[in-house]
Amino acid sequence: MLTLLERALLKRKVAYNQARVKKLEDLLQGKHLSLVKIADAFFTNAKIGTLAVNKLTTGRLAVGTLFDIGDEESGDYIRKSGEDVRILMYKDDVPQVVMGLQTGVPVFKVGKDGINALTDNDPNNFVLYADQITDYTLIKEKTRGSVSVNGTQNVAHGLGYIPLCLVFCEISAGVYRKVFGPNYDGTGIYFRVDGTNLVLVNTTGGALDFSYYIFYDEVD
Amino acid sequence: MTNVIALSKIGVSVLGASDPNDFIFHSSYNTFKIIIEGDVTDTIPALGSKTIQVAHGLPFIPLVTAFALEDGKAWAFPPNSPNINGTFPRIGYLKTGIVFNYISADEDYIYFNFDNTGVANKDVTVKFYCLEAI
Repeated sequence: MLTLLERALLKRKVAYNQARVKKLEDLLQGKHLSLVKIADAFFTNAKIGTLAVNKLTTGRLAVGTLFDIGDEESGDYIRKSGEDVRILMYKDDVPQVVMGLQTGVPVFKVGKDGINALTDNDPNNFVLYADQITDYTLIKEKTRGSVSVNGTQNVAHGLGYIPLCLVFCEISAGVYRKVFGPNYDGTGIYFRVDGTNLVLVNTTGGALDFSYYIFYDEVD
Repeated sequence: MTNVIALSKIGVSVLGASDPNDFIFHSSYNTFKIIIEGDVTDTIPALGSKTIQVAHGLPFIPLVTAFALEDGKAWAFPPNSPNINGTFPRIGYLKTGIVFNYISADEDYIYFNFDNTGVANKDVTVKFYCLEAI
């Protein structure tokens, strides 16, 4: 004969085991489970068809074939292929952005609307075309500014080389004219650049506002 | 920590490089965008001048760069420059007569100014790019 205490303990065990059996039956019937803990389990044959998670915490997550963010059927999604070292962004089913390796070359390309960035190699068809081999180096702005000039005005650029510069002059109120070298136009407005300064020159006798842009890119 | 997107030149570590000239693209350094581009063709009168005016439709004064192509010539030439057929011994520059004087821009228009020192009217086409705001 069981004591009262033993009988109560046995009842709790039976209830606990019945609950576990019920969970297993639900799992076999394909019902969703509220929480599953998988500790270093090794799935070899795609045993999980669809897995919905709110937060996925991983160590190293390796993608076997394809990894999509977004719905492929909508035509707009981001794809990482397990085979390719690159990320593709699709719009209207066309890969319009490529970041990674293309035929073994690191690239970052953003095509104009409708352009297939994987197959098109005409830089005129891209809003951004950065390709390590082809080397369409994009100019990089260091600084810009405006200054009133009457005579000669030095703008120290802080680079140890002669940089690419663009200069414009407010030739009359609200009208900006592109400024060039001193040789031709005879306006007395020009600029030059050396390894230390962008030199703005205005010999008209009255002050004029200059807008300038200095780039990191060397001209020599 | 600053988040960047960068592509280094070949053989350069994108993580180790700090010289902007070592990058093909680096999101920390502004790259000028072509906001609009277009072309316009007009006739420069013989022994005269003309300012070609194009409405840009932008809500700011754009930074403009442009090149001109004279009708019948196979090359483009920049502003602040006469167009030349070539350089010859003893003669020096042989000019075509078309001079691209300047580019200007204001809130509404872009202006391309030309001279024609020849005795016949000449057509020029200007290809222009508006790059950001001045």
